[in-house]
This record gives sequence, C-alpha cells and structure tokens, in this order.
Amino acid sequence: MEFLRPSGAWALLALIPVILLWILKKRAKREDVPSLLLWKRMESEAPQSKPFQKLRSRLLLWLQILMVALLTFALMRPATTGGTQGDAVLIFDLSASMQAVDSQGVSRLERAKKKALQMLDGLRDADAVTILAAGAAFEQPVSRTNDHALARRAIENLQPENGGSDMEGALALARAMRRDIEGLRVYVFTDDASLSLSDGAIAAVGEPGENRALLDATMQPESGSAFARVKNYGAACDATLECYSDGALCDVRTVSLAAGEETGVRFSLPENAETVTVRLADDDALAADNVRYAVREVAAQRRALLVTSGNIFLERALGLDARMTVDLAAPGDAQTAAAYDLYVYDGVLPETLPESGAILAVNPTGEVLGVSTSFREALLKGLTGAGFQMKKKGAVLISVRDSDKQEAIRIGERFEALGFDIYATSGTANVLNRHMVATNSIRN
Amino acid sequence: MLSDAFLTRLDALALRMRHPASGGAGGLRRSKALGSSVEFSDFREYSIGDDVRRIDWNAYARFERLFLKLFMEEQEQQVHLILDASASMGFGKWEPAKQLIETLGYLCLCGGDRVTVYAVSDGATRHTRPLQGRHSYPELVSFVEETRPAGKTALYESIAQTMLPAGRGMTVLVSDLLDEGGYQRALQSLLYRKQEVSVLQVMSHAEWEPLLEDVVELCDGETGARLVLSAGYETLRRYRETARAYVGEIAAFCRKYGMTHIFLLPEEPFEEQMLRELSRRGLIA
Repeated sequence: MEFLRPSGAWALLALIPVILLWILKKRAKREDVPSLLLWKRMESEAPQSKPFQKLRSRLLLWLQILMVALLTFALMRPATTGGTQGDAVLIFDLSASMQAVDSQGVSRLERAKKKALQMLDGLRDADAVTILAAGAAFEQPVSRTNDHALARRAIENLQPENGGSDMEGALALARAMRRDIEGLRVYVFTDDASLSLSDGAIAAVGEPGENRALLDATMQPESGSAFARVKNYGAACDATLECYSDGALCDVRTVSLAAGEETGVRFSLPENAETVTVRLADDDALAADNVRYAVREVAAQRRALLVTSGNIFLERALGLDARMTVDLAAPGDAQTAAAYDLYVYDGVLPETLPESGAILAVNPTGEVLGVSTSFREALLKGLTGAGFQMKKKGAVLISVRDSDKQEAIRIGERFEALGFDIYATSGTANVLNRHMVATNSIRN
Repeated sequence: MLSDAFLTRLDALALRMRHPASGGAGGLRRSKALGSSVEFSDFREYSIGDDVRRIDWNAYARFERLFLKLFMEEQEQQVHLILDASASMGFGKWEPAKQLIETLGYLCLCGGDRVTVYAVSDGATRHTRPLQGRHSYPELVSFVEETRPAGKTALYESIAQTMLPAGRGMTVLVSDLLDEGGYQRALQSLLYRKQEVSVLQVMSHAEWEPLLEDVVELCDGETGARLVLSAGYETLRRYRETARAYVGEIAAFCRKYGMTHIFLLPEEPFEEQMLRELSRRGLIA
C-alpha cells in the first residue's frame, strides 16, 4: 500500500487544536467534601464501572483524534499498488478492428479506454502521462502532462479509425522516451494478439468475435450484375447480402460460409444503375466492413477544353489521365458549340459560362465569379474574391422612402449590432429612433 | 452559643438516663441506694441491726409492727461529652455540634452532674476539668467555642487515649462518624468502660444529598486525598444509597449494643429540632 498524495500528512496538524481544546476544557471542578469515606465505599461496591468511567471521560478525545487521523489518511489517498507507478505512456491501437463489438455491445476501443482510465486513477498525482494514438499515422494527443484530467479527456476523445495502425512508430517513440526517462512504463492497448512487448505491458482488449467482411464489390452494368466477395472470419454461418442500386433494394442473396471461407456472390442489377451498395444484413462484431460501395465506371473518354494563352504545365497536368483528352483554345476564340465535360479557364473568363460540364477557373483576372446554392453566399464569395473588404466599423447613412422604412428598421438594427454608427435623414431617423435604434439625425 | 431564652427553656428539662446512677456522693439524682435523703422511697421490716432512728412510728402505730422508712439517696452522675473536633466536622456541622454539646452540658450542670467535655481529633485531645454546678456553664461554653475543627478523625485512638475516670457514667458522642478507621472499636471501648453511650450522629445536607455536576474532583477535607468521578444521576443515586446504608448500619450496631443512636440533619431552626429529637428519643425530658 502506498500514498498517492503524501503531502496530505500535513492535515495531522489539525490534531494540535483538538488536543489543545481538550486540555483547556477538561478541568474537573474541585469540590471539597468532609470525607471520602462514603464515596470510596460507593465506588468499591461497583468496581466494574471504574475503568469505563476512565475511558468515558476520554472517549470523546480519542474519537476526535481518530477522526483527524482518518481524514488525514483519506487525504493522503492511500492506494494499493496496481503496478502503475511512475511516468506512463499509454499507446492506443486505433485500427478498424478496434471497432469490433463484443458480446455486451461494447467496442474494443471502449474497453481499452475503460482500462486506461482505471489505470489513470491509480497514478500518483506527480506522475506524468503521455498518450499516443496509433491510427493510420500515429499522433500524440497528450505529451508528458501531470494534468490527469487533461489525459482523461484525451482518452475519452479517442476515435477509432478505419485503417490500420502505425504501432511501430508509436512503439519506437515510446522506446526513445524510455531511454530518456527513468522508470517509464509503457502500456499498449491493442487487440492485435501477435504484438508482444518485452519492455512494457500489453493490455489486450477484445475477445474474438464473429465477423464477416465484404472484401470487395464491383458492378458490371453491361451484364446487369454486381459482384461481391465475402469472407467469414468466424465460425461457420449463413450470411445474407443485400444489394441496393441507387438506394433501392434490388437483390438479396444468402450464402452459407464455413469457418474462414471466402466466396463470391452475384447480384442482378436493374438497368441504368449508377451506384451499388452491398450490405451484410446480419450484425457481427465489426460493422465497418459490412458495407461496400461500387460506382459505375465510365469507360468513355472525357473531354476537356483548356482556354489559355499558353500554359504548358496545365496542359500536361490535364493530359496525365489517359481518359482525358484536352483541347486547347485561345482566349479570344469563339465559343465552341461542342459540349465538354470540363472547361478550364486559365487567367481569363468567357463572356458566358457554359451551361453544362464542370468549370475550373485558374487565376481569373478582372472578373470574379461567385458560385453557390444561395444568392447571399454567392455574393459573398464574389465580393471576397474580388478583394472586397467589408468594413467592420464606421458610420452608415440610411435614408429611405416611407414604404421602405419598416425594412430599414431591421437593417438599422443589424448595423447597430455590428457596431456601426447610424445616421439618417429626419424622417428615417424618427422612425428608427422610435423603434429603439439609436440614430443620429442629419438635417437635409 | 445558646440564647438566654433557650437556656430558660432548658431549665425545665433534664437529662435522662436509662440506668439510674450509682455510686458517688450527695448529688441530686435518684439512685437505687437507699440513703439519708428527704424523699420517701419505701418501707422495710425491721431486723436486728438496723438503724433504730429510721423506724417509722406512724406505721408501727397502725400495723403494730416495726418498719423502717427508706429514702432515696440522691446522687450525682458523671457525664462525659465527647465532641468530634476533626476537620470533617467543619462542613456545616460544627455549629450544630457545638449547640448540642452546650445544651447537654447545661442540662447536666443544672441537674447537678459532673460534666467533662472532651474535644477529640487525631491531634491533641483537649478536655475540661470536671465541671459541676450552674456557675461552671460559662467555662464550658468558652471551652467549646475555642475549639476549632481540625485534624483527622481517629475516634478509637483518641477515645482510647482519653483517660476517662473509672466508674459508671454517661457518655455522649457528638460526631459524624466518618472515620476511616471505623467507629465500632471506639464505641465498644466506651461500653467496656461501663459507660452508657449515646451517639449523636450529625451529618450535613451536602453529605446526605450531594448536588454535584458532571466530572468533579472530590477533595477530602481531612486527608487531602482526591477522587475524580463523573457525578451523573446514577452515581449520585448510588451515593445516597451508600450514605443511608451507612447510617442504617450504625443504627443497627448501636441497637445491638444497647446504645442510643440519634441521627441529625441540621435544619433551621436547629434548637427546635434538637429538643424535638432528643426528647423523642428519650435523652432529655
């Protein structure tokens, strides 16, 4: 057993006032009697009460001392050593398999987090904690901090990723830290049973679960079918695969899989299916690998129009993809009627934009294009693109005709909220002031 | 000090004794010995050798036989008044004790007895010379008033030391009988010396019904010993029981040995209480 906060022993100072109070208080009143004969007689007749009397007069004192001792003991945070002493490095495996859910519906990462939090509780206040998150690339959310609350938050915020985990990188960093820091303890939370650590502790999480995964899904629109490959990582079972084309369920197939078996499934697709989603209908330990998407591949070539005054780099870049044919045009050329899939404007903008196809404007000059689904956003983009800087403060003059005065109130409120000084002509100013918008009146 | 009015009342009373006196010469008490006083006692038939002068001629005239007229011999009595002058008497008992001694002394002196007052404590035991006659009362009073309660109670040792004059007499012991060494031997030694013993036990209210608060340190007035105890209701109740048991024990002891035991808890007015108790128990009449 040890104490996580030895400085709590200062609380024993509370014993001093307790004892002082007792000393000052317990002066028995003195009473002179003619003779103690009868008193002694009385006492001798009841001998068993005597030691209890002695104790009772001091019982309260002992109780108070006991209370102070217990409080100090509690303040010192006694703990049985759980083996987590000294600085610690916690490495979390954030690979996709950590999302696997066990029989109680708790994911492996959740379990790892719980274990880690428990371990965190057992650390002394002075121990520094480092947390390494080994996802696709490893990160260091918390680095050598004594703030255990911060570490706790970081652990709780860990999110599983859908890729592999860069454990090697994390372990390398941990080993490097160990060389610098005495007594550093390394804890790895992973479900990878093959990982072994000679100089640290592996907190293995996760139980083997039943998992079936969709390895692949492809579609062949010509034959009107889609293919999916499914592998069973668990015991033999039946798997039901659903096929959605463009969001609508189009086919369901059931296959029975032996343990470890991998098989292909064929679905029939309706005409003109653009996207295909294949889903495993049953729940298993890892849900992330139960869905696959496929998109109709467009084998056809794409055509791109590059309007430029000469930009060899852009030309080459666009031409990299074999499926893209690039046509050049000079800025002044007349608009071609042909429909391209992609229009690239380099440094210039045409008078009218093409109506279909994708547009890429590179370094536009003079004009600004703002495109958005709402007018406001488009206007903002355009204005910002043109380099318009909205003033944040200043004065605003509002003068509107009578029919617009109501709307002007709203506008005035907003400008006021932004911090502008509002000036208005007399009529407008009257209306604004009446509606609690501070307005300075200007005499026409 | 007794008031004059009280003394006047005492004039009408006298100290009574259970056993009539014997021995001694010419006092005012009746005694069994038939002697030459003027009070008629009885007739006795004449036998050879009796004093011829005692023949009652009127009786001869009536009965034509010779009878002697007998008279009671008046005698004096020895009275010893022992006053416990130890420190334990000082807690509210001293005044009543003094009054008792003075009252009894006055009664004895007026009744013609020979009174000796002893003040006993483990220190010096003082006593007066044998006093007789009403005129000796002031001497008795001054002796009593000069005495101060001090020292330990050691009844047996003190009483054994005092050389009581041999012979029958009456001894009255005024004490609280709170003697560590025990009261029995002291009283028995008095009996051994053929005294008619009356014990007047005086106790103060503070001893009989103590009013103490929680956690007191009791200090013995004589020995200086200390005792700390928490005086709760239960403790006080037990103390009262102990005190009453003690007094009962003394009363039983006295009854067994034929001694008069009078227990007094002084209340105001003590003079009334004194007379009432003493006459009730037959000590004075």
